[in-house]
Amino acid sequence: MNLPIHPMLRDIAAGLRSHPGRTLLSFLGIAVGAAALSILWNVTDALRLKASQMQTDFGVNTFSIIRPPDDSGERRPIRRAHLRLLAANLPGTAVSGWQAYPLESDTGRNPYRLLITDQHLPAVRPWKLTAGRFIDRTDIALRRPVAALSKTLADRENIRPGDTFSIRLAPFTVIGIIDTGMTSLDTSDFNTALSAGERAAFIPWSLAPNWVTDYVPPEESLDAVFVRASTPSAMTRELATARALFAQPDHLVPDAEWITPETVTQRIRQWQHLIEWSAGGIALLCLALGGATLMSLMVSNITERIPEIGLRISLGASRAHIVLLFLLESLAITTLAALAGALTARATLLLFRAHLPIPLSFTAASLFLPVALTVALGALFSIWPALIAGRISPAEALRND
Amino acid sequence: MNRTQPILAMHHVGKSFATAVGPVRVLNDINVTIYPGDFVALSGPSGSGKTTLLNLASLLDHPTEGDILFDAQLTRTLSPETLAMLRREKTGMVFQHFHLLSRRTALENVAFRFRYAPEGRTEAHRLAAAALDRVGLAAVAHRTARLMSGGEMQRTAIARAIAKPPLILFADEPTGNLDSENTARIMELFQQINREGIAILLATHNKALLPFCSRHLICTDGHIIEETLSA
Repeated sequence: MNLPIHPMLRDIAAGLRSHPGRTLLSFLGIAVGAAALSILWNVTDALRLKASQMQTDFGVNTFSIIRPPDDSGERRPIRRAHLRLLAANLPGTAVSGWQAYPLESDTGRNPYRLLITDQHLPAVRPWKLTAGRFIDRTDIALRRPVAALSKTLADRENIRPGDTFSIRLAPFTVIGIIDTGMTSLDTSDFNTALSAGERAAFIPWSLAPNWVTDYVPPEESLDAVFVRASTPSAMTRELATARALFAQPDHLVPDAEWITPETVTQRIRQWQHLIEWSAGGIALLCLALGGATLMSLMVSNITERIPEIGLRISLGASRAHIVLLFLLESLAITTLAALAGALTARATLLLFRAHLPIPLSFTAASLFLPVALTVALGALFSIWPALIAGRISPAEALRND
Repeated sequence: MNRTQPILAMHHVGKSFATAVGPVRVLNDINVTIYPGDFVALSGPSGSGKTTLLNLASLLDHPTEGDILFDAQLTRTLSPETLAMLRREKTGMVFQHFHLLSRRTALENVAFRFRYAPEGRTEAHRLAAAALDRVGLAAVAHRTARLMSGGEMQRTAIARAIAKPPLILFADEPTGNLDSENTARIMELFQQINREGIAILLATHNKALLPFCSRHLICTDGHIIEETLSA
């Protein structure tokens, strides 16, 4: 089969130009599908990375006990007494915990989480201190108004160690900046309790929280307790001991959740599957709609170009030439639409990434794999109409005017 | 005139079409031979089978009975690729509705003759320009087909058919959409092409065209009768 490139490109361009309306519709349908697929890919890629990053952030040897937030006060809370119980019975471990309050910054620009904690938190959460220091025993004992800020919050508020950070109009001296790792996943109960979040301020837990909230929780209650095992091999045993301690009548917290690194990964995977099934379904639906439009474009295109098919055959085209002509036309529009959709999606995500509540990952694969999948689907939807074109009888085609 | 080696020989050719109510026989026991230099008119009323015969002769369709020899090759033994090559290299076709690509220029339409041929783009355009010159359309070579008159369109179609000189030119009602003045010009053009040695098989129901031809075949109810033309 003779396949010169230039006439083939001319044929493709002429074919697409002949029905601009339908070409545009197919283009849009496919581009939207490719964009949705591209976004999905970005998010699931990011979730995959996030799952392993969260495991690292959480600490491979760390387990935690959390209790879903409950304002009724009827349920039994996790208390600081639990921390003391764990520390006393699990020698060699590091134990810490926090109580969290969502707040709006006094500048009115940044919502953040106020975390009331102790000096042991850096020992159980492997976060990087980027400047200054964390809260220490003296800060807690002397009830100093000091705060360590997460890097994102400090950057947004343009604050450095030594500056003053105002919490509900109370001045706090910033003593350190900490990179809290886990980002953009603070929307579930699980993460609210477990994750400090991107924007967080840590203050000594000896300071009463009553000035930040109208509701004062039962004394010394905690949202989360973290335990770093003494050695990796001791984790299973120490986890079992902790469970046994929490099962005692005096320390029983019936609705407590036990979070291990495996649980973290499992939860992330649940998220991932939810997004894959929902967004993936939408993306595939868009692609199917785009593909169906493309198929209808091709069928109508072929119907209107029957005399041209006859002419081509009379001039020496084989059936394979005709099939290839319509396949390439459809592949051209699919490829262009897929590229346009994926690039638009990426540009939009890059532009609005700061305002999106989802994690994103901008890899080459997340750009090109959706394009490849879209083109493959386009080819699949084009095969049947192209084969129909190849089966048209030239005698009948030339009779058709 | 060389009578030893026919370009086209149809022996006992029949053609039926399958329909919902059973097969419909369109052509019966057709025996036609066309030699180089022949200018054959194929006339007959609408529905008599002229176009079907033309499609069989131009290798666009296959007979259900009988044999066709094209340039001494038995067509039923040829592969689709060889048939496509014979159509490309040895036949030319002109249609009643011209079948030009409306968004392309006259030159591009004529060069389209070489779309599936080995000639390169430059050579194709050179031959197309020469063919347009032969049919008197050099001046409108760059005019888009849809902006041309009916006569110009048909001459462009003829230029496309002869841009690569065929052994035989098939014309199906080539003047059916033209006025008498353009009809005369087109027929003179066909005569000129025929004088250069290209055989022509022209299907028409217009008896006014017969004086331009050297032979006359009458198609009636699927049969062919040859009528001797007066000089």
